[in-house]
Amino acid sequence: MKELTYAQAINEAMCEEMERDANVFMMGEDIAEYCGAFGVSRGMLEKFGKDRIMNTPIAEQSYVGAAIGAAMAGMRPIVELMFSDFMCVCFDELVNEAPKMRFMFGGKVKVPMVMRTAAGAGTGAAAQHSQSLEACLTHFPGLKVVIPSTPYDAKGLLKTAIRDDNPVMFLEQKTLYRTKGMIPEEEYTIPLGVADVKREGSDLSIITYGRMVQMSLQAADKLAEDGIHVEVVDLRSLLPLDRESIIRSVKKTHRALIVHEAVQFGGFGGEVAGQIADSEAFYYLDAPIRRLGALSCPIPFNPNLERETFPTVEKIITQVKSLL
Amino acid sequence: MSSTKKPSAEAVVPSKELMATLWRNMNLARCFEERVQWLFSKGLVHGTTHLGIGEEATGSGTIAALKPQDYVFGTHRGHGQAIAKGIDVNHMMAEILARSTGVCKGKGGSMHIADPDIHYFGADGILGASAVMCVGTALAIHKRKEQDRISVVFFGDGTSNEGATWEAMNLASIWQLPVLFVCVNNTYGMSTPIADVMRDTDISKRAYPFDMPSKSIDGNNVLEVYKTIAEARAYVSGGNGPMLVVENTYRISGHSKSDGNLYRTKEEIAAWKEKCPIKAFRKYLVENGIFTEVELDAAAQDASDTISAAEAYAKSCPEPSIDDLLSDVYA
Amino acid sequence: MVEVFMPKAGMDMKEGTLIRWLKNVGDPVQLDEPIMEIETDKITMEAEAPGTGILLAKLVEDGTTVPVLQTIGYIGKEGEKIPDTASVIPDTPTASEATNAPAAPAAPAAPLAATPYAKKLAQEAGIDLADIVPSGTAGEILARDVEAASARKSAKATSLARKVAEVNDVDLTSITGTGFRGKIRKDDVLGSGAAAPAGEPVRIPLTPIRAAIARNMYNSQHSMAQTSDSVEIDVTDLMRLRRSLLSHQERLGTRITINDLLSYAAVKMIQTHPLANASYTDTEILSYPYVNLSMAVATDYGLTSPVVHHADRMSLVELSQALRKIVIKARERKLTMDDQSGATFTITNMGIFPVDNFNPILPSPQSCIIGFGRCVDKPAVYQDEICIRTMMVLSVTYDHRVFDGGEVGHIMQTMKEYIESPELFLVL
Repeated sequence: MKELTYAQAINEAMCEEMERDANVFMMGEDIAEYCGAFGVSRGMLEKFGKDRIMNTPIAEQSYVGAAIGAAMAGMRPIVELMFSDFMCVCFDELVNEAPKMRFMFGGKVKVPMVMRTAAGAGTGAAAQHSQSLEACLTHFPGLKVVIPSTPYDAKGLLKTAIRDDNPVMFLEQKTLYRTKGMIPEEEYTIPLGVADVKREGSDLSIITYGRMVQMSLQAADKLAEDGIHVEVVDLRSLLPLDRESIIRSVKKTHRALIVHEAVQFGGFGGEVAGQIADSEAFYYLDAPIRRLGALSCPIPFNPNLERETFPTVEKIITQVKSLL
Repeated sequence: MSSTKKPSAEAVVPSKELMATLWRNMNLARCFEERVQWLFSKGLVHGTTHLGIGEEATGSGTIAALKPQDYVFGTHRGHGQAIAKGIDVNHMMAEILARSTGVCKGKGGSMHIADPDIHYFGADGILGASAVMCVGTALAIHKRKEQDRISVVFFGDGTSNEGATWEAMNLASIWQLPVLFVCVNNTYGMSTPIADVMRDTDISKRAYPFDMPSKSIDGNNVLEVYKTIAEARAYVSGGNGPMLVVENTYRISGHSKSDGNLYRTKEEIAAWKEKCPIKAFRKYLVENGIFTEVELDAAAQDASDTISAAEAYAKSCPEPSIDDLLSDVYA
Repeated sequence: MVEVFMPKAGMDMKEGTLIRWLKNVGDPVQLDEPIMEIETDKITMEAEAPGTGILLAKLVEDGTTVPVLQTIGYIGKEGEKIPDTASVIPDTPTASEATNAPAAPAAPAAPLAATPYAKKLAQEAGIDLADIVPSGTAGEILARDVEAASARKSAKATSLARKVAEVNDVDLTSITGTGFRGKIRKDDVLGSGAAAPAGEPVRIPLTPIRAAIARNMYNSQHSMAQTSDSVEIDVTDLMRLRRSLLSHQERLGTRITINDLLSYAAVKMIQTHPLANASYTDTEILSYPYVNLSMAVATDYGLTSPVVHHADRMSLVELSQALRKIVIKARERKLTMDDQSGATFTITNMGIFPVDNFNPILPSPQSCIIGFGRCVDKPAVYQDEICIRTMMVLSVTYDHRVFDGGEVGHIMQTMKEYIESPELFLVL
């Protein structure tokens, strides 16, 4: 085992896949010499050259559209979108083009493309550079949506995403890039659509993903001191969704709290709550299904305001206790 | 299966065989459009469709000058392009009539006619999107260092205003990719005349910021189209980077089947009917003794029969099964 | 409009407890339809509606004790106004709606709000949600409430033990029962130590029956001139007779017990001593021409005195059967008012305990009560020789206003002779 940061794990995944398959290449703004806005592609220009680590103009539609075209023509592009908020600039590509080509053209084409992008708040980047927009992405059949929370998950999931023949949205978490974790020396992949129980418990299930996983685990530690044992389920994939793991957990603990960084209203928590309510787990619920997400406001600049916009360890603890 | 043998692009002097192909494809396109128009008026065509009656020279002429391995992105008004590229008209008609034997299994429809197997990446309903995707396929060609292969994207005058079109031209030019941008200028973006949406209606000038060569030609002269594209292809496939060709033409049919033609005059339409590309080509072929009227009539009739057969075929086919609904969402 | 009142369901009933209403305000009721469950000092029963109409108001909550004949509700036409002087118990307020997420939503005003898991558990355990006390913050029944109810239900305990446990906040599941088949009795709760936190006295709630017994015993002691006598009797031959009769129980159709024999002897004794079967009034002594034999029966809810009417007309077998029936009824809490009224003479048998002579309290308005102690093998003089005989002490408490010691002496003489020579009373 070795210790890597989240960013290093992603880098390693890309390097391994690029070495494995000559069709894999990267496109994005400032990913070559600058190594990407968050330094994720460090060392890759030297390793793979300008032909495979391609800087693009600030024209998201052009290079995301080009990624789709290249994928349809047999390549396996990884396109890096600097901030996930910018997906709105190329939203047509993500909604009307990439996920629909195969279906519209009678199954005769595939779009094996990965879009990596940095999502989430916590860096003071304010309203247009801090969002978590995964909920809308899950709404487009044909796309896959992945959100890793640890270096181990990031590497394993990204390798699978690159090998997947479908367009995969790989939503990295800005504030996790420098976090560290243990990674096996030998090669490994993690399948999409499989959740991970990060902590077992008996009193309540916290269903979560992304930055909120660590926060939920911290809350779980504090709650354990009070004799409350919560289970933390990291979804890892939102689409495909591991419904079975969610149901199994809630049947066991009888209570569910869904925690995500995205705005609570209209957030993915609603989908998870609906999945629980419309399942066998409903008959095992001993408390209402609760969601905890961000408040309904654009993300503010001031750091205290920013922090309070989102779930915190304290808020999670309060919600857990209110459900017991 | 219609025969669409394409002569070598090097033969800029079109051979008789090529002319026969052009004549056939243009008539196939015309008959196909007229038949779809008829079927639509009988309520047999679901949704809407965009017919390119009057623009036949652009599709047939352009594609005749390309090679089978070239990637082609058509327009939503591109039935003629699809036919010229080689999509079986039986399966095309079946697609328009939403049958399971349609070229997209009945799941795409008129606006999404495509056959990636023969590198026709179809029509796209979002204008501008095909330009950027086309650049992507050219990127693949470039990366694989394929010789003698280019990517071609058709788009209209209206679409030339889409940001994506500009972004596509930018990306193709900075990376010097083998893209041929073909603008089929029929002077109307749906109902809006070109003069209302651009200061300078010479679309070929849009290549200038990208240091791209461009040409503006008579899109109703099929031989001029053919020659221009042949030269353009030679340029682009020679590693010289992208190029823009503007083919000026006119749409006799309305924008779509719900078009009441309130935005143009009958006189304008009548005037352009006189400039019909098929009429023009017939005149050329007969006057130059390449084919007789009788031969041309026979070929035209054959094209008509082929379309009739396609209609009969399509009507005989079943619709897709509900069980097939969720297939092909994911690979 | 018709008043609903606490009915007088017994001759000397002074008050009753409204256990629970069976109808809600606004429900239609029919004349004579059961409208509430009440408990008197003797039994629990349903009380009927005194009229037809809509139950307009309830003036008294479930569990309240009120004097007999007190108005506790009104039945009338819909919208009719009840008298102003009536104090209506306020309606339960409807639960307020939740305001902002993520505050907990309030359970609806309708009863029986329960979580899905609670409902599932209740269904599996066969428990009615109405019998479960909710502990949810919004008034909803949670799984733990069902689990507690289930544990309580499965914890076999007498109702008094349950009440003591409830009042003193003792978890029944933590008590070991010493009653029949491990049933938890009141004393088990009291003795568990769980019921006495930090030197506080354990509070044992008074059941209506306990209160009634206390009242009756006190009144009896203070209203009559009671005094007691006792004598030791040789029951060896009686025991032999009993064994013989036992061996014929199939033919007889009943198990004859010592108690049956002693009761029968007492009934026969009354034939020649009618004053033992009488009542003193201020103006005269009433001597009854029939014997309504009452027997003291201890139950897990208190002391009862069910009555076998016209015991004088019964054979030993019939009396045995009647006594058995009445004891079962008492234990199963199925005694009717009739079963407990009209007693003219009482037998009380302490034979299962190490009690020899005792002074049973005479139930008013009877004149005599006979009590039997235990049967003990001891040395005695029999036919001029010392040998082992089975001996029993017979105790009598009598109302000295009805007769004097001499008469009672004769009563005891007769009882001694009958019991020592059972053939004497069997032929009567």
